[in-house]
Amino acid sequence: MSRRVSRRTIGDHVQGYAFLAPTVLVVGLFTFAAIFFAVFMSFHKINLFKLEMTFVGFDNFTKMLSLEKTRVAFLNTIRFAAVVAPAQTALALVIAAALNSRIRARTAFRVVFFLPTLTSSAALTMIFMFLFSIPGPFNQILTGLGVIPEAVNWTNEIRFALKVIMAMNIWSTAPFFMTLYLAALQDVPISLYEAAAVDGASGIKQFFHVTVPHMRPITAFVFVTSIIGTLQMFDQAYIMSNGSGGPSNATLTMALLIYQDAFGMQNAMGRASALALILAAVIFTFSMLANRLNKNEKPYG
Amino acid sequence: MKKFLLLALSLMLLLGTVAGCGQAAATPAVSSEASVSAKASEEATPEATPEATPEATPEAAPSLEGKTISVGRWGGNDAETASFAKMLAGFTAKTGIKVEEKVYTDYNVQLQADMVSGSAPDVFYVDAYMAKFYINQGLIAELDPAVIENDKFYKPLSNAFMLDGKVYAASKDFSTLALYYNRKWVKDGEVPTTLEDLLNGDYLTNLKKTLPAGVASMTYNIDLARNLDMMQTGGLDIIKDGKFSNLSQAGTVENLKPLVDAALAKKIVTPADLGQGWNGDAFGNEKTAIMMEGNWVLGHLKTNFPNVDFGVVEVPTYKGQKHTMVFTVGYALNVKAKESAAGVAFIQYATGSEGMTTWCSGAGVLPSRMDVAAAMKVAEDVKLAPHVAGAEYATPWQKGETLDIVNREFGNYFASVVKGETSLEEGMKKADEAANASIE
Repeated sequence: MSRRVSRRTIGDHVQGYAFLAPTVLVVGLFTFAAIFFAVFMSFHKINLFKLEMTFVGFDNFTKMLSLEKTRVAFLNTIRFAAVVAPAQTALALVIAAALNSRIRARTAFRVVFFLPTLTSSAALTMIFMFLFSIPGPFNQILTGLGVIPEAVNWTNEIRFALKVIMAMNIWSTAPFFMTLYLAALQDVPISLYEAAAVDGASGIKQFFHVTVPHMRPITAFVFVTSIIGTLQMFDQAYIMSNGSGGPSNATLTMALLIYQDAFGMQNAMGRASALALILAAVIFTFSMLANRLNKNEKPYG
Repeated sequence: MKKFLLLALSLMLLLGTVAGCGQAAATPAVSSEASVSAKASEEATPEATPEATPEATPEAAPSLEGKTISVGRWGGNDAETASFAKMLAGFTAKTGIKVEEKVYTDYNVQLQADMVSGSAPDVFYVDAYMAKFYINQGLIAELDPAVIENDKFYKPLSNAFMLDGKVYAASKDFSTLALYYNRKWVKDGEVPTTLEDLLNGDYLTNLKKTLPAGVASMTYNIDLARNLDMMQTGGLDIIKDGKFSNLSQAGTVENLKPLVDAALAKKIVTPADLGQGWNGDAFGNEKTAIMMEGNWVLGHLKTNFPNVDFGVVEVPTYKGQKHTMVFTVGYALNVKAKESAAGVAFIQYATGSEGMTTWCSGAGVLPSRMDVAAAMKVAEDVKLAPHVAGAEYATPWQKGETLDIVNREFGNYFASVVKGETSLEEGMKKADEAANASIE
């Protein structure tokens, strides 16, 4: 009897692991093995073409941390996340609340708002480069209204290049978070709004005192996701600056710097890996901080 | 029994994957000579090493028939795609070797990734400015100069792919810069023949007064690739000690002054300032009267802007010297090529007189071989002649192994110099610091 049970247990185990195997292999190979290899590379001076490597300890880390470019990239990335993550979160919540009210053609609005999220970011970048180009609509409207005396080359000015990318990122990612909020808003009891209305709360007061507190768990998730996404920003900066991070490093992000070290004539895969680990640590820290901030305040007021 | 089967299956799956990985990882580790000779011995004529046999011409080696090679390149315009296809058809008809094209979009990144993974094509484009890097990394195989008839090429073009007297690629074509002017606004012979007069005299200012609103006198580019010749005037070198960026040396800064002054005075603008993608569009759309551009623009103007009447002259002299830039791309053989002999046959055909004539006459580029240039009578074409003349005194777009990095930082900081946000001295100093920190 006991023998049968144990045989069966072993069989169950085997079956279980067999079903797990494909995922374990894929994730193990393409995620964990890749991460371990990156960690390994970050402590080596490595030439992937010649398959030569020498152990250099923490040299890659100290080198990257001492570079002026890393400081610039770090500041750009932080600045980007500091503006985009809160703006995205707030905008998503406001749009969701607006769409959740009983306005006409809600479905049409939802579709229109969601469209940017479905479009590839490369295509969006090209469209934004056109919108903000010298003869583009943005300049025409501003000069037409007399806001600015002459057309500005938004994407090529040190002062504006990163801000254009910020605007684009907020606009294109907020709708995705909006859908999360929309789903969560369905769970807020209507009785709460009714009670608030009876107490004389205006629509705006209802938003701040009923909707916002109820959305806190979703906000925590959205905010952390947004921080992670913005700290990893690469594609828009790459396309807009043609990979250089210009003008004058204005659009150089951590991810773009990693790319520059890894490819071209640099061939510094070790340094790129070191920087990638540094970036991972930065993202981890900020995500934990954001999470902690949210946990300190009790949900549901 | 069922369970045993299940166990066996999962074991096999596991082993298969592990074995597969092990194999994939081991392949690139095979030394280059070993893999080339291994491939050579598979050929029907084992006594002939593929590179070293002049008789290994396509006709003399029937063993190559039916083989398939892969050729890596970047995409071009329609004319280039069509003439490449035509050249391939000619090659296959002659040799029986089939060619699979592998078109890359982000060329050097994707090619490098393929090289590391061991899946790079047998033959691929190598831009002269990346050539020394690839050679020094041991990624491209040495070619027999006799097989590719290296001495029939223009000297600067064959030199671009040589290192320590060894040949690593064969130039497929070349382009130089020349000055283009729109005949609607600029008369023949009217453009100043020195850059000093053109950029710092009154010519562009006066021309601007005669142009319709919104049309610039002249466009320019901020890339190092377009300005290296001017910067190095007087025997200067932007690279010191073989690899370090030296953009901020007094001479280079002084050489760039006329260009920066003209840009700051808004006498010249970039195509982006006009809302145009590049010079070719700005000129074709008649947004600028003058531009300096490579001969690749000829096909673009002919196809898309047939009504624009323009003239072409050599780039105006600077400090009394003729100057321009020359760009060239060659075909290189992968050291790990699966079909080395067939790959060499392809390079031989594509850079031989037949293949080069097909390619160059269709794509509107200039032949790298002097015999083909003579046969195609390119120097008799009034629009090509200034470009051909440039080949004799042009500065090649090539410089050691670090040009890519110096180029990136130059573009990064020069952009703010021409906008007046940074002084030229300051900008070049910062570019040097950034580049050298990366080069270390």
